[in-house]
Amino acid sequence: MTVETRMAQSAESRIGSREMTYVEAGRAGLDEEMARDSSIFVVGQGIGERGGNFNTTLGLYEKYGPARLRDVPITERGFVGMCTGAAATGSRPVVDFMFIDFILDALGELINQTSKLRYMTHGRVKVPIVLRGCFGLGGAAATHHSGSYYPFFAHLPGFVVALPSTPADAKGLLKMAIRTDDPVIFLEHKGLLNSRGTVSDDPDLLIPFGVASVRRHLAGHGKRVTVVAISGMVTKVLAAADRLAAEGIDVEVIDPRTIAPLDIGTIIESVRRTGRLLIVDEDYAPCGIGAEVAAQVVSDAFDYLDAPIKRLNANFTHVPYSPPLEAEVAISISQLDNAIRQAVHG
Amino acid sequence: METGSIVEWLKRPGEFVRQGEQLLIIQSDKAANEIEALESGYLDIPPDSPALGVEVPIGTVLGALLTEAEAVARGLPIILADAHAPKASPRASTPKLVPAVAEAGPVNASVMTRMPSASRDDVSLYREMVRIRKVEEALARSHQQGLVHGACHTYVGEEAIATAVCAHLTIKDTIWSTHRGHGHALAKGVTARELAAELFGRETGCAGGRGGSMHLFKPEVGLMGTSGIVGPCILLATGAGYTSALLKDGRVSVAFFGDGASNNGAFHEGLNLAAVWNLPVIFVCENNQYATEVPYATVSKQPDVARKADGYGMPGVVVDGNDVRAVWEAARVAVERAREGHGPTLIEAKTYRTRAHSEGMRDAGYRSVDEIDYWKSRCPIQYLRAQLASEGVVPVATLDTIDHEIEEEARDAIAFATASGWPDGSTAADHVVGWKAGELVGGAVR
Repeated sequence: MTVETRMAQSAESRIGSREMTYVEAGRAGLDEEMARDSSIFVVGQGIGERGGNFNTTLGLYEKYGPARLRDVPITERGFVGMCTGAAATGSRPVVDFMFIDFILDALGELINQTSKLRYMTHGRVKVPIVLRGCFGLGGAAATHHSGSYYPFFAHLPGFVVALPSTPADAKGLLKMAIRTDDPVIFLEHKGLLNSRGTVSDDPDLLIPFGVASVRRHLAGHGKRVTVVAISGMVTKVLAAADRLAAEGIDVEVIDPRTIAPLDIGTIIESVRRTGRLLIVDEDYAPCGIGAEVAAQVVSDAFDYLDAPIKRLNANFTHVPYSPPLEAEVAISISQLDNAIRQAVHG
Repeated sequence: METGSIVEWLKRPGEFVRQGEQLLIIQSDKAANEIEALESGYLDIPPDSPALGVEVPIGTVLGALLTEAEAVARGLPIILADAHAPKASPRASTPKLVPAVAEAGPVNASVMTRMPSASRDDVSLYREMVRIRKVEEALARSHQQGLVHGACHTYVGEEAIATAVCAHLTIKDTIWSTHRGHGHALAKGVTARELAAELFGRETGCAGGRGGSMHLFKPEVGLMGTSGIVGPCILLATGAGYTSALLKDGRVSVAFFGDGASNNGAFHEGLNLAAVWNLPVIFVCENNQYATEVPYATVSKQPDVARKADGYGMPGVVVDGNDVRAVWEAARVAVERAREGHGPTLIEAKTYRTRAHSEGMRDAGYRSVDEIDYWKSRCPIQYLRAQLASEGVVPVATLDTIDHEIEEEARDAIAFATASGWPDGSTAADHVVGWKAGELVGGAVR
């Protein structure tokens, strides 16, 4: 049981909570919001009667009907542009890309229209739109269904980029995303979909953007290191921290939860305690989140560092299909353990 | 010559044909002859008209040139996608075609309260076209003086289209426009002052100086944006239509775009979505025959954009974009159809821009002076003026008065823009997003 889960249970004992999977939690959040606000609609392929390839909308079509659970043709640019116009005129679309790789066909609309309309209208038009999809390595999904891409969006003004790592966060961040009057990229790692956790029944379970979660605090003995882990890497880093405790390594694990905005303050506070920093991110290293975190820490907390900042990322290559090839691209357990050891021992 | 056969119709059923224009080619036993129209009117080719190549005796009726009233009564004008042709509504069978208003309105007829009129108001249409023309000419001069920064794409020659379409819209209806959007902005209710100030980069502009010529916004009157990217307006207008269908708010949305956009994927994707969901959207293709400087004929095998509508299962209509009355009528049918829940329409307005693609750009090498002169002679403002003069209902003096009033309005707009302040540089990063890190919706902190 993680610290986060214990805290959630104690704070919300009056409201009640249930154990559920990550995808169930997101779906519960979507259901609650759609019941609350009839201007919310979902578009995607197979999100209607079928309930979504990843069960993101299972059972909702029966409750809300075709106008609010809208199956669309395979025309990502078209329905992203369409949903942007809808959002700008009073409705609140949720675009379900299934695999986030498909968002690439819509980049022009997202960057030139979706993210800019509020700014260009001097704040007079709002674009409340959620752009969600599953990402990441695993399951031999191969080259066109295994991408991550989130640094693109964190690089640009106008987007929130949310990367929940727990069922509770999946629900709380999705509800927050839906209620926000701006575009939110909401990304779910495929490897997390069936993970389980305790989730509050609070109808206003909202998680603010730009507030990192310390998933594991320092035990107070051993050689200290801060590890920033993104999305699917969080549970892997927590497991590594348990293993490495026996070697006298004391890991503080930070989950930024959103990379845009990025809660650099929580990371720097941790670095002040540990003097060492490793960023573990399954996306590519160049121009990625690790580079951004490292640059900000060097800029604002250089004096607290006792060792060079390290990054651990997937191999800088396209993603192959065959399981042994795919495994070579992903971050392995031994790579992770060694990266933490190196961050501590140099 | 005792018999002949039709080789080709040079005009389409419902198309407005001017006196002297070539109408069809007839093959006799001696030669193929182009036959010109002896009078102006809307072409009607009845079902019993002889098919192409069928030899018929002299005296056979091939078709008729109808008055506007007759054309409207028959469900014309110019329905290309016959299978989806809108049925003539009861009102269409008793059209009001006589100019209803002989007096000029006040100079700044308040657009905030403007409501679409069931009957055509030729004087208002004239006034709006003249406003667009004179304000843009003043802006073009300002551009030459260095007072307008960056690009400035004028709508000169195309004024009839925005004017006629927007005459059917309320301020709650939305329009989504192009880089050539000054006319759309003015017709939808942006004031000349706000437009000029925006191009001058001043804080009093309709986008507070953030947008300039290509990025005009006034959501308060339904101007949801002009754009520097070709195509997205089609998708955005489709989305506005989705909101209206979902929330049943009674609004319609209009996408204005050029022939260039009709070859873009957004055209295909947007029209398909709007059609399949029956959304209240009007797609207005302003075919000015050049995508920047690339002739439409060199990039599309199909000469009529409107014919593409059939591929999406919606009506496609071709109108003479320089005839404000023809555009008004086509838009009336399309807007009524959308409001009544019958879905979208594609209107193709054939037109021409008579100034360069953008002010200050060389306007040679891709089109001829003769061609430009021809289209200048087909000026939509002069055409309506001549119609009104010949009909004798509106005194010419009334039109002259309007011209003078608008000239004054344009002068006033430039003076206003010149006197307006610059935006505060410290606001450059305002309004990127509405949220704040660490805060919940509404500003609470959890």
